[in-house]
Amino acid sequence: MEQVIIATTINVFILSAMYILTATGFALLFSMLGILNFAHGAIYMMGGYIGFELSVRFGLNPWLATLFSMLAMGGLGVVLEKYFFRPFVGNFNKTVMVCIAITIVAQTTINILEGGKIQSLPAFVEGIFKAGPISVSYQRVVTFALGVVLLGIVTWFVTRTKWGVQMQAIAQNMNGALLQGIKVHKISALAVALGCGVAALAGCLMGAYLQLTPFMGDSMLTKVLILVVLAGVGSIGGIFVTGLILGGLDAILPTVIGGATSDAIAVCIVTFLLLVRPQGFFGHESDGGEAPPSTRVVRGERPSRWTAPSLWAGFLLVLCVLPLFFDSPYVLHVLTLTFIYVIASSSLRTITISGQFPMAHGAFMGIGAYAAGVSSKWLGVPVWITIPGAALVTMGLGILIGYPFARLRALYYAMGSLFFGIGVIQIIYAFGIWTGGSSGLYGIEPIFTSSKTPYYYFFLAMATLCLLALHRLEFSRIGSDLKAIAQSHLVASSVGIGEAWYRIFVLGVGCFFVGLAGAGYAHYNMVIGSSNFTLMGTMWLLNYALVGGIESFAGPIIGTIVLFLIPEFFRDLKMYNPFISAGILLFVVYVMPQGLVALPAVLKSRLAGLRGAKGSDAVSASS
Amino acid sequence: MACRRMAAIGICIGLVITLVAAFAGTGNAQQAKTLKIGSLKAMTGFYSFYDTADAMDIRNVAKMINDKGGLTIKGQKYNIEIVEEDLKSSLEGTTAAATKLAYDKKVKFVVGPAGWFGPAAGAVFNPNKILYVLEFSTGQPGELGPYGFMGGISSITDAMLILAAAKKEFPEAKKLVCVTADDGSVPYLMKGVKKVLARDGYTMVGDVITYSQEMQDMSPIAAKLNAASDADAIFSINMVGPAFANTLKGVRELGNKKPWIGATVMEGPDLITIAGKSAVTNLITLINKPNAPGNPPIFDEVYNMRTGQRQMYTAFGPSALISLVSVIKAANSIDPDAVKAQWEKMDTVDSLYGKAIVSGDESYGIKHHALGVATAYQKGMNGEVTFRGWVPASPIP
Repeated sequence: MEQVIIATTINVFILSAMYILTATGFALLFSMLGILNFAHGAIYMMGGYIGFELSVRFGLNPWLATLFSMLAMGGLGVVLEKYFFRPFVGNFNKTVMVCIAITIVAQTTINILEGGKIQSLPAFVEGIFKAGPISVSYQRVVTFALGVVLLGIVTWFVTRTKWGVQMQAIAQNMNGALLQGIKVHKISALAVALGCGVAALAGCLMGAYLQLTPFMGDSMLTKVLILVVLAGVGSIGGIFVTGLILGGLDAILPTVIGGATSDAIAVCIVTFLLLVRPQGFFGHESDGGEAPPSTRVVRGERPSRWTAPSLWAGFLLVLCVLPLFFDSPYVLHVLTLTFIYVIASSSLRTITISGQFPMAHGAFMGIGAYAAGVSSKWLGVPVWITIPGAALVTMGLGILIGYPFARLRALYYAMGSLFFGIGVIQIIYAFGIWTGGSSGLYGIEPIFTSSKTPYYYFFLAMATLCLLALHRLEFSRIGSDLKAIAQSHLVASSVGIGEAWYRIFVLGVGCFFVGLAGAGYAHYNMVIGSSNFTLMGTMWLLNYALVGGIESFAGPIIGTIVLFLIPEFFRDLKMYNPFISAGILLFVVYVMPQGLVALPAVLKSRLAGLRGAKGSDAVSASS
Repeated sequence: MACRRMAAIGICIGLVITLVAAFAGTGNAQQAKTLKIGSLKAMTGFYSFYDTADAMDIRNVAKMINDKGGLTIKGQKYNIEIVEEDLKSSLEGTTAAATKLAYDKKVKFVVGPAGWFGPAAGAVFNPNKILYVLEFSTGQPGELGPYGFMGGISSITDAMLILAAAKKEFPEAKKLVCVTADDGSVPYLMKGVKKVLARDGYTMVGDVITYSQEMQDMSPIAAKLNAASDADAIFSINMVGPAFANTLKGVRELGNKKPWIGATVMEGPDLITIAGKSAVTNLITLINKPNAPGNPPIFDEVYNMRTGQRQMYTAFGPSALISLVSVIKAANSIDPDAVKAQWEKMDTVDSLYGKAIVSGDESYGIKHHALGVATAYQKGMNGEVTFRGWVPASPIP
């Protein structure tokens, strides 16, 4: 027992240092520039691989290799800041899309070049330190020391140096900083370079302590998000405390509780802490938890209206007759899944019209899927009860969760719901005896036993009805009130709109529809796993809405069709297939910032421009 | 005149030869038909780490079979065509890829996927009577199905083989502390493993230690393993390579040098890369070591067909294809029902590891769908890993 206590105590500090080390770069960008850099995991991974290549392939000293890796990633940071972050300052949506695209490109490239090989950087320091009952490798001691020192240096840099203070000034008021003569772009580039350099250092150290894989950044990113948000916006030093809390939970719980349950309990504790203190332990209490500008849901000018009933009726008619011309069950399968995801992404968008950013929508889809799957497989409940029942269960849970979260706004709401989403996945793992754990749940009763065609029409009908209901809600009085809350919750409250009630209501509605989609998915696929319902699952639902155009009701429909269908039909590209998704995201961000719904308007204006140019050419020629 | 005549005769002979050769070629092409076999592998996502090299090996095995004359079924010659689909490392991706193989590509036989994706593949293949051969099984009964067979190896096979090797290498180890990943298969896997432990005269110290699949730093698990002071040895069951190596590193760091019996297939250099030289001592693990003494010739032949950079040799997929082809030959039919019936009545099938024993009725609750194969093992001592030879195949309970 004594041995376990000593080993666990050491683990608390080492794990904490690991988390602090990996979170510092992310925290720097988040706190100073308000950039939620979801590509941090990819940069961390690339930093590790560059260090590996330099030290193993070119025989460089690991310390020197790490230094070069930091410089390389710092340089990449300058490029990222100029071309990927700067154009979208103040726009959370575009930042998310760009970061996901960067992550896909980085992971796919490294997977093509280095996948299938077990690789690790050589240890920075060999040997084991022993003192009485304490026994720990020097590598871990170095990791711990570097974590603490690095945090100290970054905190000092931000609070004590001129550049650091300028970063804080930019974070507080960019226009004011500009007026005061601060070179905003230069300082921003410096902050991003620093953040990326620190991520590279973490990648090299973790690449030596654990191992390198192209996907190593994904699990790290979840931990980093927990750490940074729990510390609070604007607090870099705070991650020291939250690092200790998270390190403590992750070191102690697995020694007391076995398996996946320990992770579930850890996330539940963190979610509870966040509910108690939504702004984080050391965050600023600005405006009751209003988000920094870059993390607000951006609702810009309205793109062209896609509301002509004849257009949609025609589209529906085409979908109805499609199976008569395409007898490929595979095509019908992909289209059926598209209908399901259209319901899920449209319901996510409905929640965003109230100004909230639900980061647990994928998890709510999972709740619907597992509620239907578990009740069907283990309790033998018939399909016609499990589907509506699961939707109601999801709605109930949504309202239950929405109640404590109703007082959270913008970023804190997003982060609170993000933790809830992570918690759901961990609970699915923890109850593996019923849910199948990470292997998934199989043997779910199908809706039909015949071909794919009945499924196609069933989900087409379900999607049509759900969209009609969501459309009705959005353009009703309630919808207007929700939009009023999104514009200004203070103005809305002043005219008697009950903000909290409306937010709980719309979350309940969104959860009902996504639960319906999840339950239908479970009975269609007959096998469900947690991978669709993780943070990345939510990110994809969000991207469907953003690619189409989150401002428009038609956005999620168009976005899902494009972003889900197109890569599916390019399956033959195999390892290169993810580049298609990344390409679509980047195309929309740079060429069609309002989403693909703006395509007709863009084409129209381009045509008008061409005609105008031709006309002016003709005039100049004749003159 | 004579020259002209000679030239005309020459042209005629040339034409005749050309026509004969052309018709002979057409005849051959008509003779050999194509047998499409699906390959359900992860080309993208986290599992591509294991599957990309395996996919290449499957293609090479098909080429090898075709180069040796292909298959002859009821007098008809067939060449194998591998139809690859990406399962995208997810259950949804598996269902989509399986649907494409079943309906668009119209395959009747499939090699893969790995056990975790087996239920998703089975949901498409079983109703469509498509025979699929899993390359690996974790032990969950849903992975196999009416048309789902096990090729390659399984967690239970690995456990059996390494315990058999442990009897020789660590005869004094009788009380074992066990550790395995909590991937949902624990209740099923441990049922089979406990039977094997009891059969081979081992005692389990405490409950099996489980950990979350998401876990990165394995130090807390190492502390737990180290605390089992009653145990003579550590027995790791269903652990993927990196988790296994990290736990080993953590245990050794705590000064624990007890024998380690690792049912993980991992190459020596990879183990040293992650765990470090000092940790690789007093342990045995399974190994796919090409060109080692005692290897079945085909085991090396498949590996030596590889081109490009060094990647892991899991050997699961090619073994599954070899097993499938051997049963198709035995059934003398390309009808999945006939092949299924043949497999269910066979005692042994061919594999990359030599003859595999068809078994596992009790562990998997399905008759004659699992395989007990032979595998080689290695021993790590003082930072050096040495190949120790092959453990013969034995039936799964």
